Amino acid sequence: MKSIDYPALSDEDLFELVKRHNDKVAFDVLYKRYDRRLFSYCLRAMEDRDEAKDVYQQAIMNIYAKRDTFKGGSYVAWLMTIVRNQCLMAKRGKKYTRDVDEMQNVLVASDSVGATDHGLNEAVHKAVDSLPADFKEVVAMRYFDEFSYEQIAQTLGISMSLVKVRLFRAKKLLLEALSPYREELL
Amino acid sequence: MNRDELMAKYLDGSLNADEQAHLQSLLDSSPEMAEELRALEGLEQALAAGAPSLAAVDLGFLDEVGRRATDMIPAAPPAGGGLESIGAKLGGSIAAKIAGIGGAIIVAGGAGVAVWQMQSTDDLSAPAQATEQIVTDIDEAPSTLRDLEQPPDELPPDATTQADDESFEPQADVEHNAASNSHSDADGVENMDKSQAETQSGLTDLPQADAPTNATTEDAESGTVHGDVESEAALFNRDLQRLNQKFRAAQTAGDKATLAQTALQLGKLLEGRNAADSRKYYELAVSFAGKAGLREVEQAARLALDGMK
Repeated sequence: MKSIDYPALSDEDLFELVKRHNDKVAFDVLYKRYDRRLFSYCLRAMEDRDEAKDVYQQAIMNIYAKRDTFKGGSYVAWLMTIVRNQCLMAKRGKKYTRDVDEMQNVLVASDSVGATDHGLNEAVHKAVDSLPADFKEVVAMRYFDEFSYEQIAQTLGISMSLVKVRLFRAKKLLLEALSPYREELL
Repeated sequence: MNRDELMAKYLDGSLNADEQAHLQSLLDSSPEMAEELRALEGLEQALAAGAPSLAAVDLGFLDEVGRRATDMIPAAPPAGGGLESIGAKLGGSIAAKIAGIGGAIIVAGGAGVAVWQMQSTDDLSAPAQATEQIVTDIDEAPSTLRDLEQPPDELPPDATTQADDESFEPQADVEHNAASNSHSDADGVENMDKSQAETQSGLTDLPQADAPTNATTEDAESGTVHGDVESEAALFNRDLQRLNQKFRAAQTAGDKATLAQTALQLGKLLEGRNAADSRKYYELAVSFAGKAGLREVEQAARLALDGMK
């Protein structure tokens, strides 16, 4: 008996098997490639574990139903667009609350970044949280979720050069915010 | 090109020789810039090392969502398209990766099992690796494999699907804000209501004769059977029977790659219904995937086992 070497297939080839042949194994292999990164994204975007779970679940359950909207290009960028839009939609529903919460988070983050009782890792996370939303998103996608510049650009609908510009500016802001930890960074 | 642009390109690793030389001269003349660049490199390392890790409970949740999403995919269409047509549709890259000539792929069929016979063509040449994955000495299989030739332990009388505790309410579609993408996610959620209803429903039927678990009918007799449940149960039985047949065929053929993949599927299928059998299949998947070099399958099985702890 011969079989398809699923793990060797590209994302797009696997999704073609899902679209055309309802191949559950292909779907499962594909799902496992990105489940952690997508859920991490939801956790950061929603800033609440239960809400992140709801949003993630809804997005994943929609993948198959939306399969025909994938017209080529990068599968993961298409997938990220679905997940990101799901997060945006959920956040819009509670915008007022979110605005207040975000202000408080930023204040807390900026107050505590320089505190000496926090380690570098925690300080880095607080500094990232305090970045402007556009910068925070590209930093997290690049360094926490390990997406390529191209994938980030396609997901956000911006150019690769703009992704790079945002990343560099974000890093400069982070260096300023992490100035108490300068020696540890060198 | 200013100093920031040079540093950004340096961090990207995209400097050309001239730019490299220019940057080096700037760094030699400016210790402050050199320190800033070292700090930026240190920051990148700190960011990469600081990726938040998910808790075990999250991994279990992810597996569960994946299983539900997979379950929502309807059974494969009946036979009618040869696998060579898949290769043609997907292009040469996938065809080259399909491991073998003249083999058969068994996929779940709504009305049964569909077998796509692969035709021997020049484009479908078997990679060397595929040949290596096929072993003939079944004695190399772990001892637990032989246990599976006997029906595993009976399911407990209440081995019904655990009630879903997550909401699957259908929802409005999401907005579009990535206009430059070459795709969209604009269309609706067709079939969602039915699929979700099926996913939500519990099982009251249990595996049939050829299944690795001996079914009882206590649940069916409990009066809780209704249409969705029967549909879900029938689907479960079909999947179980199909996978069991596939597993046994791979066992006979000594095809460790298929054994690994099928064991992983069986483990997932039985998860929440029979933990002991599910664990056994996951362990088999780890073992066979290790032997077949299917790292991704092995990792998935290990994660599943970790989630069961």
